[in-house]
Amino acid sequence: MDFSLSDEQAMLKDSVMRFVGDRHGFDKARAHATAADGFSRDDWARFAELGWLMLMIPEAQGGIGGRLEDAAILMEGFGRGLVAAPYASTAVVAAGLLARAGGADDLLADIAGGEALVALATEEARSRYDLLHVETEARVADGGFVLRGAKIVVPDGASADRFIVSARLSKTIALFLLAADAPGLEIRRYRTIDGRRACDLAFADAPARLLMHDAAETLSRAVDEASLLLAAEAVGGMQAAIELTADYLKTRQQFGRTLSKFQVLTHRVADMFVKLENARSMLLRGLAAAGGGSAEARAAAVSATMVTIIQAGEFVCGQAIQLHGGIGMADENAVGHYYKRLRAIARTYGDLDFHRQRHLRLTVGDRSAA
Amino acid sequence: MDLSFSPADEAFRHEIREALRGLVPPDMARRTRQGFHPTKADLKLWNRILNDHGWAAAHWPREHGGSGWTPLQVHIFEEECAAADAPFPSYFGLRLVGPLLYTFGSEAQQCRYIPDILTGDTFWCQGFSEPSSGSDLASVRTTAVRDGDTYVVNGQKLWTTEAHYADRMFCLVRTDPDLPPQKGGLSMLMFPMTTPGITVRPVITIDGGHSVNEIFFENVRVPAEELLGAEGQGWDHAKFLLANERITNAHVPRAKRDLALLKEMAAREAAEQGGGLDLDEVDRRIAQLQIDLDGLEWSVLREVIGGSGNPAIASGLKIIASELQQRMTELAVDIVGVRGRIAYDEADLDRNDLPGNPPDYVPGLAARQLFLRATTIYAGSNEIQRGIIAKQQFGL
Repeated sequence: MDFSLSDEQAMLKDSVMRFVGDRHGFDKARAHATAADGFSRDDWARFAELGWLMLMIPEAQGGIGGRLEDAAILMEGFGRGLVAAPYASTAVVAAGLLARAGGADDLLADIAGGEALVALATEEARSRYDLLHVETEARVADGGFVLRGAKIVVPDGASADRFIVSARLSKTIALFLLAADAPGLEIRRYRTIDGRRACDLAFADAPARLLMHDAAETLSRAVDEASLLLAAEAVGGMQAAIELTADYLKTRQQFGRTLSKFQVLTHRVADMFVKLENARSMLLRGLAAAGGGSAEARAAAVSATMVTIIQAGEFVCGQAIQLHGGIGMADENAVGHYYKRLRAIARTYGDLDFHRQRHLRLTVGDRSAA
Repeated sequence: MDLSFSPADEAFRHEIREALRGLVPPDMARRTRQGFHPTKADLKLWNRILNDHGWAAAHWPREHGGSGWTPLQVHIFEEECAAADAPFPSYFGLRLVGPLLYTFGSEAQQCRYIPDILTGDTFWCQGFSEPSSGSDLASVRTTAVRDGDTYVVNGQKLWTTEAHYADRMFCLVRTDPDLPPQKGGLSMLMFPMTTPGITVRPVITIDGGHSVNEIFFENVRVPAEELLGAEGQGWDHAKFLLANERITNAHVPRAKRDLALLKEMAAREAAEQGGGLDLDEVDRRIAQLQIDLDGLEWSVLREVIGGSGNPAIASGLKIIASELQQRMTELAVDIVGVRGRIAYDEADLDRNDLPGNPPDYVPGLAARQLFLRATTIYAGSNEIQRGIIAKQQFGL
């Protein structure tokens, strides 16, 4: 066991921190949020130049073959800088699924080059984060497959030019690939609270390519990995929110003193720090479980991580607003944006109740069912 | 970055588990599970057994009598000891004054004291807190006035844990009333508890137990050679100890054992109480405790292996661990229901007509829950820790 960064990881961290520091201040993040895509296409091209978009593609398929810890380093930086680019969804989750499915090397090359954006669509109106609750159906038609059904709130979906979609195929869950301009596919694009863009998808016999049969465990693993990346982003965001808050306490004057002279406020910052560091530990624990061991152990550990992240995020970023007082409510102040991002993360691949229940089922056990 | 336990770590765990099998006497294991303060006899015997295996000071460097294990191996060893229901060895020799001696002590002092700390033949206690000096340790008033080649000690200490077990004390005293404590006003003296002029009185805590004491010093004469390091270094010694304490006080191995016992207990109580116990709610509370304990364990691993040495991190561990210990025992008492109100006397445990006719895990719970209110106060109250974090981490 060794928590120190390898040379490559230290370089990765250094370059993402430099990107966030030099090229991606809060003003940029806010401007991107109002642009059409909700993120910067220039940044995306820069990610391709830096090799970040091929980091998680296996070497055999032309990538760098990085580990989830490496992507987490980037995500922590993105969290700090409120970078809204669809990195986790395209460059890790979709790239990982396409690599595992095989036969998609051209598309992987396009992802690596920054030319393709691919989003994973799993959530449905009645699925409530349960990846196994799939009502979208696939059936054979004209020697291929067509999809019928609907998906909602697809992460980074509005700018995607392709979708990976979970659908029921006979008795199992399968993954399909289709283009955004496929016939029979209707897309409704909109903003989420964190300034990003999601979409709803409606399939009316939309032709799609089968990527993988019997994909329940593969999908579960991919979404667990996506959760951990959001956890890393959350850690970066929380840290930034705490630092902003501590700095604010040192400058803001009330009652003739700086706020840093009020112990009730400084102790709150200490509590925020304690929750952040605990969340960071749980991120590492989740990454460890994703690296090996059984599917159940991984799922339980990821849910434990997400419970901690969601609880910490609400406290840390909520209190960052509180300690800023009125100005924390203003859109022109950064802390509210960290809060909104944490709130969005807390309802992307599972909310607090979902992860609590999944963790409970896999650890303490479901005695009532026994 | 390598986040996995290596096969060598797992092999080490297996080896330790096998070696510990049968080593903890059953009656000692039972007392440890019940959670009353360990008896002196148990502490002494376990210290001797550990030392026979060369494990008494597993966490020390090899040149001072330690194991030479990696920090992770030490952590695994302590986890296995806790899982075997071994008592946590007496703190003050092995955890506090021992490291103090091999870090700051003269060679003569090391030769004189360290061997008996390893065997457990000498027990120590720590003279820090005073009636008007609790969290504000710098305000220590007990004086030591130089008189030729001796110091004359006068004053009072309070909350001195295991002073009634101890053969010797290491004691924070004011040697220069004119200097601030941080600038050389305090020193550390070591002396036998049998020195004339020392009076030890028990302080009974809210759990009804006796683990802490008050100590009175009346013209206690201590040879100057019993000074640790140089005169005026007492504040450095105290800071060294408090930083050490905050990591060890996380007590992750014991907490993991307690949570495992809590799960077993919940299942047994559910069977005994029938539908009276809301097991779903208990399970939810256990699951949250498990998640929080996992976080604490990984924070400790990060610190033990990575070693940031950041005082703010150590303070954070102290806050989380102490609150977690409290919540765990609160749940344990909740689970046993109405019996959680009975004041069991430790001395009666072997009677077979205990009030409420309780299962074996019940009698120590209420006392332990009450005593653990102290965890958020001792070793620097949690409010002190928050102050340290605000100042050290953020300059607030």
